[in-house]
Parts: sequence; structure tokens; C-alpha cells
Amino acid sequence: MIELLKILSTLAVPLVILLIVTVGAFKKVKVYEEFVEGAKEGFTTAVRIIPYLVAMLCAIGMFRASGAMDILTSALSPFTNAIGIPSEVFPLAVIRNLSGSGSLGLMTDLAKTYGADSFIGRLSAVMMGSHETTFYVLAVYFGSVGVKKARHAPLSGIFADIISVIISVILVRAMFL
Amino acid sequence: MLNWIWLGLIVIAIAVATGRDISELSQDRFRNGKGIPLQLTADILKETSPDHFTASVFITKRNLSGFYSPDELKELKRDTVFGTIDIIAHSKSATKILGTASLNLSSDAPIIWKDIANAQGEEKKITGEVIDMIQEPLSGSRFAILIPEQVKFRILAKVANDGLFKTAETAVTIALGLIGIMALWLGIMKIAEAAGLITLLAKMAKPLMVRLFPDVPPEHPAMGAMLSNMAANFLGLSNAATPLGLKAMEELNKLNPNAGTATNAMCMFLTINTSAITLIPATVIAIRLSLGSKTPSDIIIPTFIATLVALTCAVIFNRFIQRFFPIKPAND
Repeated sequence: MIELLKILSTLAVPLVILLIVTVGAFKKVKVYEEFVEGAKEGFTTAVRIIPYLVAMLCAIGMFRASGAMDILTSALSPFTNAIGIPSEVFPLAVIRNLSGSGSLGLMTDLAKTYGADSFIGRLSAVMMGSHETTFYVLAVYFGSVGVKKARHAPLSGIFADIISVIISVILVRAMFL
Repeated sequence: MLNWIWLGLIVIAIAVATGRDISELSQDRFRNGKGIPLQLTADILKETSPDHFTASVFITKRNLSGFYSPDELKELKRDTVFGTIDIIAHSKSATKILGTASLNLSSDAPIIWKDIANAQGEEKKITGEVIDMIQEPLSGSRFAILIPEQVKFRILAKVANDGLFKTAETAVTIALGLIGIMALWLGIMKIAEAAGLITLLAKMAKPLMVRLFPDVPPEHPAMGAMLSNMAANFLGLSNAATPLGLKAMEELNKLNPNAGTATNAMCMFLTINTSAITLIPATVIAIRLSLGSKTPSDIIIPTFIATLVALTCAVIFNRFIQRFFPIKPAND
């Protein structure tokens, strides 16, 4: 089953492209010309997000470099312990919203230190697998269309993250402990 | 909202860094200006080239704890810390050498030394002045006294260097790195659009999409673009997901009467994106495998359920709170 899913995800890209191009050709679309026309936007879109990305990543970078994370973690630890998140894993729950590479490093560290198949190792893997760097997505997606007023999007994003952390803890406890 | 988050991150970062720096200075954590007595292992300095000396040195835990606050040395595993020292002599006599020196740290060096090295911009090297070589009269042991360069406001410096300048560069690297993959998928997307595949996709998922995005006309190209982004995310094609998502944002923005402010549909789309629902978390499985997990893929099911529940909750939550964030027509 899992092998099948893996094969599926490897084949997805070539198959999708083959499907699109053949259907296009079948419908008499000038595939090459259309491709180039669409691809033109790639550069402008990428360049357009630079200011938003710089603003967001710099603020996050400063926050991480200052060590404020440790203070936040220890301040919240009574609360997180109460809902069953081990204090070793909690920094991952915070950092996965802020930095993709940072959380990947932290998850690898945790799995290395405590063992990949330990409770902490599994929990960090589930948290990592269910994460999205919310603030990066916010900056890039809204930045690409020049949206500066994000309204309730950050709040819903954070809400989704909190829920997924809590569910991860409950599930990993129930399944592996 | 983003204004507050942004401001908060920056203000907290600077406040925390300043606080930690001041506390380190007031406790004189690094013993600035004082010399560390490093004993020469074989009581000799090797002269590798004129005025260049090298020696392996050590310091006992007892000597270290007389020097730094005992709390610093708690995690020290061995009773003796070894290293090597390179000296460039400015003046020398038979018993005495003055010069600049660098101490190469071993992997079991105390954290405070590693902090000093990092503050000096190095991984495993402390630079400073060597002021004296003492021949202890009784034992005959020889010492090099190293005074490291003073460490002041290291965390604020780190916030500026690592936090600001390096990340600014990283941000641009990330954005520019997107150009190629973005062009590729936007090109493919354009063919799919011209072939009518996007409209077909939108028609198939219409019942769901109309409920999620009531403000978007069912036949609008934004629907197809959003669907293709969600499909890419679901299949774990993360490098396709971003370009398709940005395409969807562009289409959604065409329906936006107030440029610069997010619409309800945009917020919903972002919420779905940040819930990160994925069939196979491939990166995590690969890491688990490389770290010797016996069942690397047994996290798939809990991950999937966690993201599914989070997605459902977030969609409901998002729908519920949008009324508290009315769109103010832009007049500034």
C-alpha cells in the first residue's frame, strides 16, 4: 500500500505533464507557444515576492538569533506539559511555523538524540510531516499579489497549527505508547 | 494583523538580546581581560617557522571552575580539556614569549569557550593575546596565559549578522531560486488552461469549492488554479504547489475590489494551504530511514489524520472569524 503510494508520487509529475501536453495537442493548442507565454510570468512573480520575503524572514531571523525561543519555551512549558507535549518537542511546535530549514534540523536532532522510533522521535516526525511554515506561505502568497492587510489569515493559520500539534500528541500517544 | 506580528517579532528579539547581553556583562560571564592558564602538555613549544609556535595544551576542570562560574562547567564530561595553541610571537626571550594566539578547541570544550569562539565569528577557534609563559618553580610545568579578545554584546551582534543580514540574503536566494520552477509550472498551467483541463477540474470539484469559496464564481479560473494547487500539495509535489498557488492568488486578486487587502476567499485559500494536508510526508520518512528507524513510514497515518483534523477545524474557524475582520475600503 505504502509502496504503491510512493510509486504514485514519483510518477505523478511525469504523468501530469504528459496528460496536459497530450490533451493540449489533441485539442489543437499550440503547446510550445502557450508554455512560453505562461512561463514569462515566472520571473516577475518571483521578483515581486522579494520585499515581502525579506521583511518576513528578517523578523523571524532576528527572533531566532536572539534566543527568544528558549524563553518562550520555558515560559509556556507548564501549559504544554499539562496537555502532554514533552518539553523537548515543544520548540519544534513553535519553530515549524517560522522556518522550514530550522524545523527540519531540529526534528533530525530530536530523532538522533532520542532515537527515531522513540516517542519523542515519532512525535517530532508527525509534527514535522503535518507542518507548513505558515509565515513563509503568508509572505509569499500575499506578497505575490501585493496584499499587505492579511486580515484573519494569520490567525486561522496559527489555529490550524495549534490543532495539528494537539492532535499529533494525542495520536502518537494513543498509537505508539 | 501582520503589522503586529512583525513588530512583535522584532521588538521581542531586540529586547531579549539586549537583556541577555546586559546580564552576561554584569555577571562578567566571559571574564573579559583575564588570562586563561593553559598548561603545555609536553612542557615545550614547537617552533614551526620563525616566530610561529605551536603546542598542545590542557586545562583541568578545577582550574576552569576557578576561572568561570561553576554553572558553566556542569555539562563538561572529562576532568581535563585539551586543545592546541598557535602563537605568533611579537617578542621572545629564553623564558618568555609575547604574541597573538589562537586556541583550537576540541569537541569536548566547554560551552562558554564555544560561545566565545562564535562571538569572534569562528566555529572552534578562540583568538587573543598570549602574555606570558610561566615556568612553575616547583613542578617545572609550563603555562601559556591566553587572554581572549573581549566578548561584548555578542547576542545583539548575532541578531544583526545572522538574523538580519544573512536572512536578507537568504530571502533573495529563495525568491530567485523560485524563478525556474515557477516558469516551468506556470507554462504547464497555461497549456492546461488552454486545453480546458482547468475548467474540467473546477467542474468536477464544484460542489465542494462553491461551499468553501462562496464569493468566487463557480466557473472562474481561480477555482481551477486553487484546485491544482491543492492537488499538488496533496501529492507532495511541493515545488509545483507554490507556483500553482501563486497563480491562484493572481486569479483571486482579479476578483478583489480592494487591492492590498485580502478577500475572504484569499484567507480561506491560505488557511487550506497552511494546514499542509499531504498523502506522504516524503522528507520526514527519508530522514527517519536515514536515522535507522525500523518502521519509517508508520507516521503516515497519524500525520494524515492530524492534518485532516487541523484542516477541517481551521476551515470552520476561518469561516467563523471572518466577520470580525471587516474589509475597510482603502483610503490611505
